[in-house]
Amino acid sequence: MKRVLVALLAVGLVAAAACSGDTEEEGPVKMGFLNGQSGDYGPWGGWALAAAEVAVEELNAAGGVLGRDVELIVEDNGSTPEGAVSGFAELTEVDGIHALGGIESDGMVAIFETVHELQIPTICSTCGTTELDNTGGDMVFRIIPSDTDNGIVGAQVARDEGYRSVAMLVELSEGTESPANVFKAVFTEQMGGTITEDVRFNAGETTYAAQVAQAFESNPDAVYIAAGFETGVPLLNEWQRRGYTDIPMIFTTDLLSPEIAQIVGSVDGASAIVGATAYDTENNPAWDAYVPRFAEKNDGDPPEIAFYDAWQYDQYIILGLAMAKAGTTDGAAVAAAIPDIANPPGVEVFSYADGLAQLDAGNDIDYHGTTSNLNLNSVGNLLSPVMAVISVQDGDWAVRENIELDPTLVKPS
Amino acid sequence: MTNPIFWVGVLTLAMIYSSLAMALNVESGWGGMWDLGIAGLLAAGSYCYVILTSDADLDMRFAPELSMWVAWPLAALFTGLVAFAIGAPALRLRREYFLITTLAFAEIIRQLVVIQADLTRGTLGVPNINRPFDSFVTGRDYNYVLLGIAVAAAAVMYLVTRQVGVSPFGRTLRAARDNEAVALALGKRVNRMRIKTFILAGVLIGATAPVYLFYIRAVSPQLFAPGITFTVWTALVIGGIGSIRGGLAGAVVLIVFTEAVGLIEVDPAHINILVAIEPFLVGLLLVLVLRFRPDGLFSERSAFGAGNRPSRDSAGDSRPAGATQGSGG
Repeated sequence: MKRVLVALLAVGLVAAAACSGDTEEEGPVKMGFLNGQSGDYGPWGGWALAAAEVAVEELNAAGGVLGRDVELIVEDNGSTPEGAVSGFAELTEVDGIHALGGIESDGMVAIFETVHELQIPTICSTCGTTELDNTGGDMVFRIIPSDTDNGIVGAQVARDEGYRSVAMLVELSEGTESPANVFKAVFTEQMGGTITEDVRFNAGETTYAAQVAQAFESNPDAVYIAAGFETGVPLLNEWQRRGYTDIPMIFTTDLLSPEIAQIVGSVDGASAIVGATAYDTENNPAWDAYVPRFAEKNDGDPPEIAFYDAWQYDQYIILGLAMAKAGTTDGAAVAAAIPDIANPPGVEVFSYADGLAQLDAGNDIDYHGTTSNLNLNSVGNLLSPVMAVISVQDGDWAVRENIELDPTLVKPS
Repeated sequence: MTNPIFWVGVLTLAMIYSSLAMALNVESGWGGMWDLGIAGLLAAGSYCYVILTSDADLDMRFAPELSMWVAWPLAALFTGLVAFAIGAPALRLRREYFLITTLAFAEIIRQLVVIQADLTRGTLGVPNINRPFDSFVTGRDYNYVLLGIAVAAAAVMYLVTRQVGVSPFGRTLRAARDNEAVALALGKRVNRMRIKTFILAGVLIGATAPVYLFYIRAVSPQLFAPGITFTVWTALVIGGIGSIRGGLAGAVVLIVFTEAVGLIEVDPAHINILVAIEPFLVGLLLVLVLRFRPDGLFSERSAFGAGNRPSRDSAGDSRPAGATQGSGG
């Protein structure tokens, strides 16, 4: 036992000696990027990182933040809560980050309390979790619509399309069940609709034949499908093979991938529609400036709908402007400045450089991002998330129209 | 020198995995029951603790809001009951059938957590786990408290498993593992002994579950994917299956090594390469350990004295096995 204790002590000492961090106040401003570069969220990881790099390059091109270079510190959380906890510890205790972005729902829930304790201003650009519906606003802010919004808009689209009965196919995961449960409650309780079947299934099944048959053969007006796109591909292959192509489908945001559009688009008469979170791209200088820079990072490919990349970009511009506004990297001061940056009153600005110039001139600013006006409510959520009806046209996703959430539809209790 | 709290956190996680690896060693190292259901038992203990201690305003169907000091032992006992429910049928199988069955039971437990959403909050999970002493010590300093709890839990685990290992029960368990026919001929009730061992491992894993939750601070079904089982197994293999201190040392080496690899600094553009290399390096560590120390860092023979266990070459059928009676699936 003595040798074991000596070995443990040695490991601890070696590890402590090996670590090297920069705690200098005058060093670079460190933006943490804690994201699933591997694991379940891995397919989105490359786009998310490319967008974050575009933002940090923009910050540095404008002279940095507070006159200091900005460094993006990347940590893979493996798409797990455990990875988020250890990754956040590394970012804060080894790298000494000043702010955090990139985190997803389950990781955010795990580090939520610690973020507050350590006073690390955090913007959640990919977490729809309903856990954040009423708990943010002090240190944690969310700049994408919540799963609650996504569920409501799905029901709104179903209603507007005239569907009175819907079958549901829902993957058992937090990100898919959350909007689906809201959809179901709103569609049945507030619209008087009928759910003909509510089929829940796991990711990674060998086949989805039974689930697809159960939903599509229940005689619905439409089928609501909430699934990740890895699951969506085999599921829709089964849909195509069984010839249920005359029944329209309503998808959740995660199915907005090119592969899914190609499958649906390859079938004559098939219809898939998505009521989804969207980017506010019309007459938006921030978006126009972002697209070519993202494409340069992404092998020439422009951003796709709902790949979450543009939110990753927006979060670091907000954090940079908030630090400039606060005049410090102190966490509490930066967090307090975030709503001031994102909300009116102030001069509307669409880039970090313009925002910085206005702040230097002593003006308040209202930053409009690539994705929306980013106005936040008192609990750190988007005040008016941009939603759109998106459908498959010529084998690709295309925005049919932007819509506003029907204010008469409310979050189910 | 960087704030040492990062390494405090790493050692905390290492102690948690050490506890799990030592519990696994009792059933798998000494009992010969190669269990791939660790994640399921950990989930059972975790959710029992969470349900018993969570605030009523989380809208869970059953929320007695017990003290964590009451809920902690109850979580251990409940996990023992779950282990019995799994072990009773599974231990009728042998070798790979037992292995697959335990893996299946772990997934069943995870799915039960998902579908019993009114009791467990399903895929949404439960945030803000209640932690001991957090009203007295807050912020970064709590990491030291948590390390103390994890070290204490690992120390208790070490003492308990060591006591089991050197006891007549432990000797009989290993004897039955190495030659069941002889054990049966000597009148040993091998099956009953194995079920007791399986339950004991369940209790030990259930007792570790709250410590794991103190570290994560939230619980959700995704936490209990099979990856956690394979990490515990890797730690045990590195440390030495069947040795008393192998689980402890193996987990420390594995977790510290994994986190140290994560400290390698790369340009953000090359993070995908590092992400790909990390599991490769962990695999390489495992290969190197098995190449140069085939029995792990600590061998069973060194733990119990030469001749106590046949060498791997001469052990013949002293191998992975669930139980030996039964139909074999």
